Amino acid sequence: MSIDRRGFFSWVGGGLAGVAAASLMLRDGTLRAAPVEKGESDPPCPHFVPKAKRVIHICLCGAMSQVDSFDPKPELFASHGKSLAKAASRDDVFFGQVGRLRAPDWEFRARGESGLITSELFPHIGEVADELTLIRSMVADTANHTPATFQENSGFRLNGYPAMGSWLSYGLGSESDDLPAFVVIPDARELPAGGAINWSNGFLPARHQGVVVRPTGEPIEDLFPARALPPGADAAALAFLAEGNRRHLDARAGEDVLAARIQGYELAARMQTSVPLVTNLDGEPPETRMLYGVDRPETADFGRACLIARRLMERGVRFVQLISGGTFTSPRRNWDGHENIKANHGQEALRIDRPIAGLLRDLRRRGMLDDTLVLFTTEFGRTPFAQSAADVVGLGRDHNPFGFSVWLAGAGLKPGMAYGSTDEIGWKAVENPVTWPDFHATVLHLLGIDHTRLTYYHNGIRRRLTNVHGEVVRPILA
Amino acid sequence: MNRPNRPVLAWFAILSLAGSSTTLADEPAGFDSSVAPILARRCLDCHSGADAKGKLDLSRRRPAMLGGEAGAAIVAGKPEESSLWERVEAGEMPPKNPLPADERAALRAWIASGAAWGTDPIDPYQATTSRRAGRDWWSLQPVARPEVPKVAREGWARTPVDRFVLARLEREGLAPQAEADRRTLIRRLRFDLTGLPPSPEEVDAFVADPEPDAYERLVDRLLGSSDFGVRWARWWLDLARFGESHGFEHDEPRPNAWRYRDWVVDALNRDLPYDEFARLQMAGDVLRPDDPSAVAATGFLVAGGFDSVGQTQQSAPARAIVRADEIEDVVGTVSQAFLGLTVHCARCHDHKFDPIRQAEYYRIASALDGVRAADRELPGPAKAKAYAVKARDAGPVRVHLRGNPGSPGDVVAPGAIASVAGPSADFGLPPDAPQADRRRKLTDWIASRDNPLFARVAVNRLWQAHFGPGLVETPSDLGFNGGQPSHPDLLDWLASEFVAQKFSLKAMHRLIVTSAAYRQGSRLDPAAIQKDAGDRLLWRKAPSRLEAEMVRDAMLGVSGRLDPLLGGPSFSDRDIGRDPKTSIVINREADPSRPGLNRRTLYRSWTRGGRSGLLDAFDCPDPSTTAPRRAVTTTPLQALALLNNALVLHLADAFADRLKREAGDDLGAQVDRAYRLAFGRLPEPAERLRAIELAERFGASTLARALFNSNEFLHVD
Repeated sequence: MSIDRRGFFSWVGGGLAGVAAASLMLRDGTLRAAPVEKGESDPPCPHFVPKAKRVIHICLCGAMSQVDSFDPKPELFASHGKSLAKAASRDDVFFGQVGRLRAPDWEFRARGESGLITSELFPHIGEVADELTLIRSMVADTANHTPATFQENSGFRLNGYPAMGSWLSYGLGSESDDLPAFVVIPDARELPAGGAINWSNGFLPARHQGVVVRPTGEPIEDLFPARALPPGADAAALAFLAEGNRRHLDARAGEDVLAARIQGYELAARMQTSVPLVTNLDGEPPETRMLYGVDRPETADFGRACLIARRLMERGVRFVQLISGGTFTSPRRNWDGHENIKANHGQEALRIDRPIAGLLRDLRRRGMLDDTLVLFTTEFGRTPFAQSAADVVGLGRDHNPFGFSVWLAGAGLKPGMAYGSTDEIGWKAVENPVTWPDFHATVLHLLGIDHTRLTYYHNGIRRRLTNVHGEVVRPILA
Repeated sequence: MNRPNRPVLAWFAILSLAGSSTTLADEPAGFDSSVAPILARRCLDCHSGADAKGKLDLSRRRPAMLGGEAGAAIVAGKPEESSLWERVEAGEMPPKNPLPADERAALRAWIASGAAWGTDPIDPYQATTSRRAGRDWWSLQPVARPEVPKVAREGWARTPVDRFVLARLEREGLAPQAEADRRTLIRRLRFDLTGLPPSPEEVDAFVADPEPDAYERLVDRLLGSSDFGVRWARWWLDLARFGESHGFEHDEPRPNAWRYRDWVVDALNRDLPYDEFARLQMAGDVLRPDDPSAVAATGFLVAGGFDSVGQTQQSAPARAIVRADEIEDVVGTVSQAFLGLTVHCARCHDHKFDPIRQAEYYRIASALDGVRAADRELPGPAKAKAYAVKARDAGPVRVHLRGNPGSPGDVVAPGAIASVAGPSADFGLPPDAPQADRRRKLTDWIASRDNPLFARVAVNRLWQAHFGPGLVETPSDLGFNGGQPSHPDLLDWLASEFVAQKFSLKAMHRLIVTSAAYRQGSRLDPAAIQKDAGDRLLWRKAPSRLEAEMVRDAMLGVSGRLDPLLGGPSFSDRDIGRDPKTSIVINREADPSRPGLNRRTLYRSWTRGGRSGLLDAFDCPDPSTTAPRRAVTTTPLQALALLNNALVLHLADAFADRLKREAGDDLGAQVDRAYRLAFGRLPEPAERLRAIELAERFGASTLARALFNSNEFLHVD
């Protein structure tokens, strides 16, 4: 019940003066020069000059196969139908079935000037391969989807830890006074497994929770009255409310907490204008809409999400997470291709390939890729052998936490390179394995944050996104 | 083998012969005070025990002198030949954190002077250092009963509590305020004790009550109301990380978890002594196996998340990790809730800040190892089901080296934390003792009247709930990383009083809310706030914002729609399921006009994946983790939720209906009634005019919506 004085001001930065200053700033379509709202971590962030100011995180739920996408393995093509040389333990696979080795279902080839080799699963992303910084040696702590997804997002396998976007909201604050710092755009089909647990503030104050923005319909929950009000009633009620609150405050001079709440209503009114402007794509030229695939039925959903993400970035949102994939069910609606990789990954990649490539091209031509970071991750990879009886080459692949691929693009990175490698068949990382804490430490580093110094006291520990682990992956930095 | 020891012996011999003023008895003391703390703090995390890095164990004299894989680490009298000194001098050890100059000097001097050893093995917990707590840490000491201090303003104090508060204020040159007016008092007290606003009739009766004990009678009436348990159960359920679903991948519902919630409400309402309250939650199934309510109480232990997929995966090592994570959640929740100790921080290594050994984490884990969650039948003829503990036999528990169940260490016997004063942490049980015996012993140790943490932690939580910040601001951590008490004597006096009152929670509530400190005004004093911005010294009763549940309950109450039904299965204010045709997951707010949704917020289905946007906006904690203190934040999203949410608009309509029903068609009468219901007062003439005007043009529902959103509705003076 106590009032956290600092908390009341967090959204409004340095208090009322901060808001006043913010409202004078140039708005809409221009990148902000300075944070409107400071972070609240101690020591303050950034700790050093950042390369990146904001992040788009594309999160593939269900586990994308590395050997079919970004980790070329000629040996696996050659070994199709053979048994593993050294038998896998049943403990190595989630469902206990180790089938014969299965060749990738897509061809690989070298791309662009960099010669980076990627597969035809993502032909459009392949065309912008020179922008990518691949990590082919990711390892996860668990082969269980949801704990692995929690770890991908929050560094911990359990419910209740803050997501990366929450940490950045807490550490860096917001560059927007009328949009939340951390936005999540879920798959248009449904929320991922675990729903809002995935973008929880955990033990950080609730204001750092991810805010779901829907690409169609009312963009934010409760942005407008749930039912129609008489014309003029809304404005009249707000005016009446403001007057009553002022009178109440006059009798309690100096209570900033009450003043901050009054300010909250003014910001809310601004959000009602600003948020629909961001999600309304009517003003985008046809060429841009085509670039993102907004005009095609198979890519319209994710294309809209990517385009809205760019527009949110332009307006100072710190962290946008785009989710590809829903829950675990049949028929498959995420990347969990146990039964049939070709059908499943083909269907999922079709939805996102063109939009993501369009996003990278658009960010580049607008100069935004210079200080924007794009992340493309999945909770773990898939086995190079089929999930089937031992003497069969089944169509699907099981979970594989021992080696998988993710990529980054944009600010502060060496583009067109691949870091780390898996063994000859693409099963286990053998060279430069990268853990999630390493990955998170690297992302924070690019944002000017020393991951060991972004902390929050909770239940006895100064908690970090990276727990007690994490080394910055320096060889991928520009 | 003996070579490294020889110089030490020789040095002793010389000292003795020379009859030096440095006596043998003094030297080990010097080691204990100046060298052992350095080794303990800087080296022993890695260099101790069976798993010591480089096979160098510096915690005991003999292996330290023998050295490790790299040979002799300490050559007495010869720092330059001691690899320990070489590595320290080169800044290689400790890795990443080279020693400060004074500590280096102390180490070198010690080796140079012959490396005499003191207490063996080193006792890292002997004394608190600048970096960590020892056994002498304040919260681990027995509770004393301090003298009630003398104060200058005798007339202000009503209770011993007030004398402690006032003495401190007087020392700081600050003064408390006079008692708040009765209208303020009843609103404050009503929300605080029952979570609901007072009705206008209650306000009138209290304001008009001529008896001098009107306030005390009001306190007793509210403490006796069944709403008391409904409000205070939430206080406890936050700590219990109470959720009505598994979380993780499928977030499976727990349709019988409410029995634990009802047990908490009932226990608080009948003032079950707090020690019994604790015992039953930790071991009700063991202590009273035939009592259905005692078994339901163990819902506490298993209220956290449950990784159903992880528990059934193929890999046995992976399943072991899932189980180890689960036990950490139980150990962590028990130790934080009842002891204010962060024992879970000792899962992977000895606690970095508090005197808790890694082995002690596993001793407690052993005591709780029989705990398994189950939707189980309760004893008795009713055959009711509850989500509670269904214990299994537990084998001997081993330490997990670095917290990894794949690296088993020594077997431990069930036990507790030796650094805590009072009852013995040694349970006298073998490692393979029956799980029931283990848990019973742990429960006895925790809920002992001699366990100083047990009472201190509880009274501090009560204080926090009534005043805002606790006497210690980190209510689940009274260790080194936690806060220091603002009024140490008051904390101990309350703890001893709690024991003297036989752990009656209601007695402590009564003591606190009848104090002058609680009853004083809430006016902001600019001079005082300069000195004490957090109002920890109680120069006023700080105003507070309603908790999320109170916001919703108050809207229900004021609009006349509050369903009085208490207890039983939860209602769901979200539609969660799958579309039967497409199997697409649905998780959306239910239509608020649907019957059955108007009950107290405590009774909403508290699923982990079904959080409410409206309640979250008012800082409802994530039920996945124990939440000892809620944040109070303000965001534009909070404003949007309270302005536009379907429930708010629905209740604004209901409020308007009620006004018409109770005040007739006269808008002036409706406005008067609205202000009395929402704020407990009549409107000022100016606001009355404005309110009538608003209601006239846009309907009373528009007025109701504005009142729900007002600071006056959401804050208590």
